[in-house]
Amino acid sequence: MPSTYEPIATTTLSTAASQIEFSSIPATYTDLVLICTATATTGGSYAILRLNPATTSTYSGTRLIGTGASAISNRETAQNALELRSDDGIGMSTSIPTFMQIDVFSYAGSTNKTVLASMGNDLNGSGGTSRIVGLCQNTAAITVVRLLIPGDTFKTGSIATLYGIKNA
Amino acid sequence: MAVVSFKRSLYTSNPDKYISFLAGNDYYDPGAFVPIANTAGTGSATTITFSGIPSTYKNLQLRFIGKSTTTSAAVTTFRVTFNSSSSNYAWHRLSGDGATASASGGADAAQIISSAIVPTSNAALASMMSVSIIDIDDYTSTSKNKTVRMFNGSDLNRTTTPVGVVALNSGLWFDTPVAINSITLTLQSGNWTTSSIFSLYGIKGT
Repeated sequence: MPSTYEPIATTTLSTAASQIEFSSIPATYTDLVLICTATATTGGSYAILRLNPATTSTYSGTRLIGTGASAISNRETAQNALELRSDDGIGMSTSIPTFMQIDVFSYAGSTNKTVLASMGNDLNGSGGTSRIVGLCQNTAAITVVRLLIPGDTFKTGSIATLYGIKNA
Repeated sequence: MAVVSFKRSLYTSNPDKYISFLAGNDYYDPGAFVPIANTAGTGSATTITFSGIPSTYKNLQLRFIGKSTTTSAAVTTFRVTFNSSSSNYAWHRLSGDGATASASGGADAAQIISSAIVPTSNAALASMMSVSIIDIDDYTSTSKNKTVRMFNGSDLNRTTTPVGVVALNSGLWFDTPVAINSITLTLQSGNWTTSSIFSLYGIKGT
Protein backbone atom coordinates (compact mmCIF):
# COMPACT_ATOMS: atom_id res chain seq x y z
CA MET A 1 0.00 0.00 0.00
CA PRO A 2 1.62 3.29 -1.02
CA SER A 3 2.56 6.02 1.39
CA THR A 4 0.61 9.15 0.64
CA TYR A 5 1.09 11.91 3.20
CA GLU A 6 4.81 12.50 3.04
CA PRO A 7 7.01 15.28 4.36
CA ILE A 8 8.86 16.92 1.47
CA ALA A 9 10.92 19.44 3.41
CA THR A 10 11.03 21.37 6.66
CA THR A 11 12.57 24.78 7.24
CA THR A 12 13.35 26.08 10.70
CA LEU A 13 14.76 29.58 10.69
CA SER A 14 18.06 29.93 12.51
CA THR A 15 18.13 33.63 11.69
CA ALA A 16 15.35 36.07 10.85
CA ALA A 17 14.35 35.93 7.21
CA SER A 18 12.04 37.80 4.89
CA GLN A 19 10.82 34.60 3.28
CA ILE A 20 10.51 30.86 3.63
CA GLU A 21 10.73 29.09 0.32
CA PHE A 22 10.29 25.53 -0.90
CA SER A 23 11.63 24.99 -4.40
CA SER A 24 12.15 22.12 -6.84
CA ILE A 25 8.91 20.58 -5.62
CA PRO A 26 8.45 17.27 -7.44
CA ALA A 27 5.27 16.80 -9.46
CA THR A 28 4.71 13.35 -8.01
CA TYR A 29 1.93 14.27 -5.58
CA THR A 30 -1.69 15.31 -6.01
CA ASP A 31 -1.93 18.05 -3.39
CA LEU A 32 0.49 19.98 -1.22
CA VAL A 33 -0.02 20.93 2.41
CA LEU A 34 2.11 23.65 3.99
CA ILE A 35 2.00 23.94 7.77
CA CYS A 36 3.77 26.86 9.39
CA THR A 37 3.98 28.48 12.80
CA ALA A 38 5.72 31.80 12.69
CA THR A 39 6.33 35.01 14.60
CA ALA A 40 7.32 38.38 13.20
CA THR A 41 10.24 40.62 14.08
CA THR A 42 8.25 43.87 14.03
CA GLY A 43 4.71 42.49 14.02
CA GLY A 44 1.36 43.81 12.90
CA SER A 45 1.42 42.56 9.33
CA TYR A 46 0.45 39.30 7.64
CA ALA A 47 2.30 36.64 5.76
CA ILE A 48 1.62 36.37 2.04
CA LEU A 49 1.80 33.39 -0.28
CA ARG A 50 3.24 33.21 -3.77
CA LEU A 51 3.25 30.20 -6.03
CA ASN A 52 6.06 29.65 -8.56
CA PRO A 53 6.37 32.61 -7.50
CA ALA A 54 4.21 34.66 -9.82
CA THR A 55 4.32 38.33 -8.88
CA THR A 56 1.81 39.59 -11.42
CA SER A 57 -1.68 40.53 -10.32
CA THR A 58 -3.08 37.05 -10.56
CA TYR A 59 -4.15 36.38 -6.99
CA SER A 60 -7.51 36.82 -5.35
CA GLY A 61 -8.88 35.60 -2.07
CA THR A 62 -12.11 35.38 -0.11
CA ARG A 63 -11.93 35.28 3.68
CA LEU A 64 -14.16 34.28 6.57
CA ILE A 65 -12.85 35.69 9.84
CA GLY A 66 -13.88 35.21 13.43
CA THR A 67 -12.68 38.10 15.57
CA GLY A 68 -13.77 36.80 18.95
CA ALA A 69 -16.81 39.07 18.85
CA SER A 70 -18.22 38.66 15.36
CA ALA A 71 -17.88 36.85 12.06
CA ILE A 72 -16.95 38.92 9.03
CA SER A 73 -16.02 38.32 5.43
CA ASN A 74 -13.83 40.32 3.10
CA ARG A 75 -11.76 39.78 0.00
CA GLU A 76 -9.12 41.05 -2.34
CA THR A 77 -8.64 40.77 -6.09
CA ALA A 78 -5.87 41.34 -8.62
CA GLN A 79 -3.10 41.09 -6.05
CA ASN A 80 0.51 40.02 -6.54
CA ALA A 81 0.20 37.52 -3.68
CA LEU A 82 -2.42 35.91 -1.50
CA GLU A 83 -2.59 37.66 1.85
CA LEU A 84 -2.90 35.17 4.71
CA ARG A 85 -4.99 37.38 6.92
CA SER A 86 -5.71 35.58 10.17
CA ASP A 87 -7.80 38.27 11.88
CA ASP A 88 -9.33 41.69 11.32
CA GLY A 89 -6.33 43.97 11.09
CA ILE A 90 -4.20 42.96 14.06
CA GLY A 91 -1.54 40.93 12.32
CA MET A 92 1.23 38.63 13.39
CA SER A 93 2.70 38.86 16.84
CA THR A 94 6.35 39.19 17.78
CA SER A 95 5.99 36.56 20.48
CA ILE A 96 2.92 34.38 19.92
CA PRO A 97 3.09 32.15 16.86
CA THR A 98 0.53 32.41 14.11
CA PHE A 99 -0.63 29.05 12.80
CA MET A 100 -1.09 28.57 9.07
CA GLN A 101 -2.17 25.52 7.10
CA ILE A 102 -2.37 25.94 3.35
CA ASP A 103 -3.72 23.20 1.09
CA VAL A 104 -2.71 23.59 -2.56
CA PHE A 105 -4.92 21.37 -4.71
CA SER A 106 -3.82 19.70 -7.96
CA TYR A 107 -0.65 21.79 -7.91
CA ALA A 108 0.81 19.94 -10.89
CA GLY A 109 -2.37 20.17 -12.97
CA SER A 110 -3.24 22.46 -15.85
CA THR A 111 -6.09 24.41 -14.25
CA ASN A 112 -5.76 27.59 -12.21
CA LYS A 113 -4.56 26.85 -8.71
CA THR A 114 -6.99 27.15 -5.83
CA VAL A 115 -5.90 26.91 -2.22
CA LEU A 116 -7.61 26.62 1.14
CA ALA A 117 -5.96 28.23 4.14
CA SER A 118 -6.74 27.74 7.83
CA MET A 119 -5.31 30.43 10.08
CA GLY A 120 -5.10 30.82 13.82
CA ASN A 121 -3.79 33.90 15.62
CA ASP A 122 -4.95 33.86 19.21
CA LEU A 123 -3.26 36.64 21.17
CA ASN A 124 -4.93 36.13 24.56
CA GLY A 125 -7.53 38.86 24.30
CA SER A 126 -7.21 39.76 20.65
CA GLY A 127 -6.38 38.10 17.36
CA GLY A 128 -8.70 35.81 15.48
CA THR A 129 -9.18 32.81 13.28
CA SER A 130 -9.84 32.68 9.57
CA ARG A 131 -10.54 30.44 6.62
CA ILE A 132 -9.47 31.61 3.17
CA VAL A 133 -10.05 30.37 -0.33
CA GLY A 134 -7.42 31.74 -2.67
CA LEU A 135 -7.04 31.71 -6.43
CA CYS A 136 -3.76 31.95 -8.32
CA GLN A 137 -4.41 32.28 -12.03
CA ASN A 138 -1.51 30.14 -13.08
CA THR A 139 -2.06 26.97 -15.08
CA ALA A 140 1.56 25.81 -14.91
CA ALA A 141 2.70 23.13 -12.48
CA ILE A 142 3.76 24.63 -9.17
CA THR A 143 7.41 23.97 -8.33
CA VAL A 144 8.00 26.79 -5.83
CA VAL A 145 5.98 27.78 -2.78
CA ARG A 146 7.07 30.95 -1.02
CA LEU A 147 5.88 32.56 2.20
CA LEU A 148 6.87 36.20 2.65
CA ILE A 149 6.16 38.91 5.20
CA PRO A 150 6.21 42.34 3.53
CA GLY A 151 8.18 44.99 5.38
CA ASP A 152 9.11 42.58 8.14
CA THR A 153 10.93 39.33 8.75
CA PHE A 154 9.96 35.97 10.17
CA LYS A 155 11.69 35.54 13.50
CA THR A 156 14.21 32.87 14.37
CA GLY A 157 12.45 29.64 15.28
CA SER A 158 9.64 30.06 12.78
CA ILE A 159 9.06 26.66 11.25
CA ALA A 160 7.37 25.43 8.10
CA THR A 161 6.91 21.93 6.72
CA LEU A 162 5.72 21.05 3.23
CA TYR A 163 3.89 17.76 2.75
CA GLY A 164 2.81 15.96 -0.38
CA ILE A 165 -0.41 13.99 -0.64
CA LYS A 166 -0.57 11.35 -3.35
CA ASN A 167 -3.83 9.86 -4.56
CA ALA A 168 -4.49 6.25 -5.54
CA MET B 1 19.74 -3.70 -0.54
CA ALA B 2 16.32 -4.18 -2.06
CA VAL B 3 15.21 -7.17 -4.10
CA VAL B 4 14.42 -5.91 -7.59
CA SER B 5 14.61 -9.21 -9.52
CA PHE B 6 14.77 -12.87 -8.70
CA LYS B 7 16.44 -15.53 -10.81
CA ARG B 8 16.29 -19.29 -10.46
CA SER B 9 20.08 -19.58 -10.34
CA LEU B 10 20.16 -17.46 -7.19
CA TYR B 11 18.27 -19.95 -5.10
CA THR B 12 19.46 -23.17 -6.69
CA SER B 13 23.22 -22.56 -6.47
CA ASN B 14 24.03 -20.82 -3.19
CA PRO B 15 20.93 -19.24 -1.72
CA ASP B 16 20.96 -16.64 1.06
CA LYS B 17 18.53 -17.48 3.84
CA TYR B 18 16.48 -14.96 5.81
CA ILE B 19 14.29 -15.39 8.82
CA SER B 20 12.35 -12.27 7.80
CA PHE B 21 10.14 -11.97 4.77
CA LEU B 22 11.73 -8.56 4.17
CA ALA B 23 14.79 -10.49 2.89
CA GLY B 24 17.19 -7.57 3.10
CA ASN B 25 14.69 -4.89 2.18
CA ASP B 26 14.24 -1.89 4.47
CA TYR B 27 11.18 -1.92 6.65
CA TYR B 28 8.43 0.03 4.92
CA ASP B 29 5.75 1.90 6.85
CA PRO B 30 3.03 3.25 4.55
CA GLY B 31 1.86 5.68 7.23
CA ALA B 32 -1.61 6.32 8.52
CA PHE B 33 -2.99 8.28 5.56
CA VAL B 34 -3.70 5.84 2.76
CA PRO B 35 -5.10 6.45 -0.75
CA ILE B 36 -8.20 4.36 -1.41
CA ALA B 37 -9.42 5.49 -4.81
CA ASN B 38 -9.16 8.30 -7.33
CA THR B 39 -11.51 9.29 -10.12
CA ALA B 40 -12.30 12.17 -12.48
CA GLY B 41 -15.49 13.60 -13.88
CA THR B 42 -16.61 12.45 -17.31
CA GLY B 43 -18.41 15.57 -18.46
CA SER B 44 -21.59 13.55 -18.87
CA ALA B 45 -22.48 12.45 -15.32
CA THR B 46 -23.92 14.58 -12.56
CA THR B 47 -22.72 12.21 -9.85
CA ILE B 48 -19.42 10.83 -8.63
CA THR B 49 -19.63 7.73 -6.44
CA PHE B 50 -17.00 5.96 -4.42
CA SER B 51 -18.37 2.48 -3.69
CA GLY B 52 -17.02 -0.61 -2.00
CA ILE B 53 -15.21 1.50 0.57
CA PRO B 54 -13.34 -0.90 2.86
CA SER B 55 -14.06 -0.74 6.58
CA THR B 56 -10.41 -1.07 7.53
CA TYR B 57 -9.81 2.57 8.42
CA LYS B 58 -10.89 4.78 11.28
CA ASN B 59 -11.72 7.94 9.32
CA LEU B 60 -12.08 8.99 5.70
CA GLN B 61 -10.98 12.15 3.94
CA LEU B 62 -12.28 13.10 0.51
CA ARG B 63 -10.38 15.84 -1.34
CA PHE B 64 -11.44 17.20 -4.70
CA ILE B 65 -11.36 19.99 -7.22
CA GLY B 66 -14.67 20.48 -9.01
CA LYS B 67 -16.34 22.23 -11.90
CA SER B 68 -19.74 21.90 -13.57
CA THR B 69 -20.47 21.70 -17.29
CA THR B 70 -23.49 23.98 -17.02
CA THR B 71 -23.20 27.55 -18.25
CA SER B 72 -26.49 28.79 -16.87
CA ALA B 73 -25.02 30.37 -13.72
CA ALA B 74 -21.65 31.20 -12.20
CA VAL B 75 -21.67 28.64 -9.39
CA THR B 76 -23.70 25.70 -8.18
CA THR B 77 -23.87 23.45 -5.11
CA PHE B 78 -23.00 19.83 -4.63
CA ARG B 79 -24.85 17.35 -2.46
CA VAL B 80 -23.48 14.48 -0.38
CA THR B 81 -25.23 11.17 0.31
CA PHE B 82 -24.09 7.89 1.80
CA ASN B 83 -24.91 4.26 0.93
CA SER B 84 -27.43 5.46 -1.70
CA SER B 85 -29.72 6.69 1.08
CA SER B 86 -31.91 9.69 0.27
CA SER B 87 -33.26 10.52 3.71
CA ASN B 88 -32.32 11.56 7.23
CA TYR B 89 -29.70 14.21 6.58
CA ALA B 90 -29.11 17.59 8.23
CA TRP B 91 -26.51 20.25 7.68
CA HIS B 92 -25.16 23.62 8.82
CA ARG B 93 -23.15 26.13 6.83
CA LEU B 94 -20.95 29.04 7.89
CA SER B 95 -19.73 30.98 4.90
CA GLY B 96 -18.20 34.22 3.71
CA ASP B 97 -18.80 35.73 0.28
CA GLY B 98 -16.25 38.50 0.52
CA ALA B 99 -18.71 40.99 1.98
CA THR B 100 -20.85 39.18 4.51
CA ALA B 101 -20.49 36.23 6.86
CA SER B 102 -23.64 34.17 6.99
CA ALA B 103 -25.02 30.93 8.35
CA SER B 104 -27.72 28.58 7.14
CA GLY B 105 -28.85 25.01 7.57
CA GLY B 106 -31.34 22.30 6.81
CA ALA B 107 -32.98 19.38 8.59
CA ASP B 108 -34.80 16.18 7.67
CA ALA B 109 -33.26 16.54 4.25
CA ALA B 110 -32.54 14.18 1.36
CA GLN B 111 -28.85 15.10 1.30
CA ILE B 112 -26.17 17.32 2.78
CA ILE B 113 -26.01 20.49 0.68
CA SER B 114 -22.84 22.52 0.26
CA SER B 115 -22.63 26.24 -0.23
CA ALA B 116 -22.72 27.36 -3.87
CA ILE B 117 -19.03 27.03 -4.56
CA VAL B 118 -18.63 24.90 -7.70
CA PRO B 119 -17.78 27.12 -10.70
CA THR B 120 -19.62 26.45 -13.91
CA SER B 121 -18.25 26.39 -17.43
CA ASN B 122 -19.29 29.98 -17.96
CA ALA B 123 -16.71 31.47 -20.37
CA ALA B 124 -15.55 34.01 -17.79
CA LEU B 125 -14.61 31.22 -15.39
CA ALA B 126 -12.23 29.20 -17.54
CA SER B 127 -9.87 26.98 -15.54
CA MET B 128 -11.39 28.04 -12.22
CA MET B 129 -12.13 25.20 -9.84
CA SER B 130 -13.69 24.77 -6.43
CA VAL B 131 -11.75 22.93 -3.76
CA SER B 132 -13.14 20.76 -0.99
CA ILE B 133 -12.00 18.67 1.93
CA ILE B 134 -14.60 16.39 3.51
CA ASP B 135 -13.74 14.52 6.72
CA ILE B 136 -15.90 11.59 7.81
CA ASP B 137 -14.97 10.34 11.24
CA ASP B 138 -15.70 6.86 12.59
CA TYR B 139 -17.45 5.94 9.34
CA THR B 140 -17.71 2.25 10.21
CA SER B 141 -19.59 2.69 13.49
CA THR B 142 -22.83 0.74 13.75
CA SER B 143 -23.89 2.53 16.93
CA LYS B 144 -23.42 6.22 16.10
CA ASN B 145 -24.87 8.63 13.59
CA LYS B 146 -22.36 9.93 11.06
CA THR B 147 -21.15 13.51 11.33
CA VAL B 148 -18.97 15.08 8.68
CA ARG B 149 -17.01 18.28 8.31
CA MET B 150 -16.52 20.09 5.04
CA PHE B 151 -14.11 22.94 4.27
CA ASN B 152 -14.46 24.25 0.76
CA GLY B 153 -14.65 27.25 -1.48
CA SER B 154 -13.84 28.96 -4.74
CA ASP B 155 -12.66 32.41 -5.70
CA LEU B 156 -13.67 33.78 -9.10
CA ASN B 157 -11.45 36.89 -9.19
CA ARG B 158 -14.10 39.27 -10.40
CA THR B 159 -16.34 42.08 -9.19
CA THR B 160 -19.67 40.70 -10.37
CA THR B 161 -21.52 38.74 -7.70
CA PRO B 162 -20.85 35.94 -6.90
CA VAL B 163 -17.18 36.75 -6.49
CA GLY B 164 -16.15 33.87 -4.26
CA VAL B 165 -17.22 31.85 -1.27
CA VAL B 166 -15.32 30.15 1.51
CA ALA B 167 -17.39 27.84 3.69
CA LEU B 168 -17.30 25.55 6.67
CA ASN B 169 -20.06 22.95 6.67
CA SER B 170 -21.13 20.22 9.03
CA GLY B 171 -23.38 17.39 7.98
CA LEU B 172 -25.32 14.71 9.79
CA TRP B 173 -26.66 11.39 8.53
CA PHE B 174 -29.02 10.06 11.18
CA ASP B 175 -30.30 6.89 9.53
CA THR B 176 -30.08 3.70 11.56
CA PRO B 177 -26.31 3.57 12.08
CA VAL B 178 -24.45 1.42 9.59
CA ALA B 179 -20.95 1.53 8.18
CA ILE B 180 -20.57 3.89 5.25
CA ASN B 181 -19.55 1.88 2.19
CA SER B 182 -20.31 4.41 -0.53
CA ILE B 183 -20.20 8.18 -0.94
CA THR B 184 -21.98 10.04 -3.73
CA LEU B 185 -21.39 13.65 -4.75
CA THR B 186 -24.17 15.09 -6.91
CA LEU B 187 -24.14 18.45 -8.62
CA GLN B 188 -27.23 20.62 -8.32
CA SER B 189 -26.80 21.72 -11.93
CA GLY B 190 -24.77 20.26 -14.78
CA ASN B 191 -22.25 17.43 -14.88
CA TRP B 192 -18.81 17.13 -13.34
CA THR B 193 -16.24 18.25 -15.93
CA THR B 194 -13.31 16.07 -16.92
CA SER B 195 -11.07 18.51 -15.04
CA SER B 196 -12.83 17.57 -11.78
CA ILE B 197 -10.65 15.21 -9.78
CA PHE B 198 -11.73 13.31 -6.67
CA SER B 199 -9.45 11.46 -4.26
CA LEU B 200 -10.57 9.35 -1.31
CA TYR B 201 -8.19 8.54 1.53
CA GLY B 202 -8.42 6.32 4.59
CA ILE B 203 -6.92 7.35 7.91
CA LYS B 204 -5.87 4.51 10.15
CA GLY B 205 -6.51 4.29 13.88
CA THR B 206 -4.59 2.26 16.39
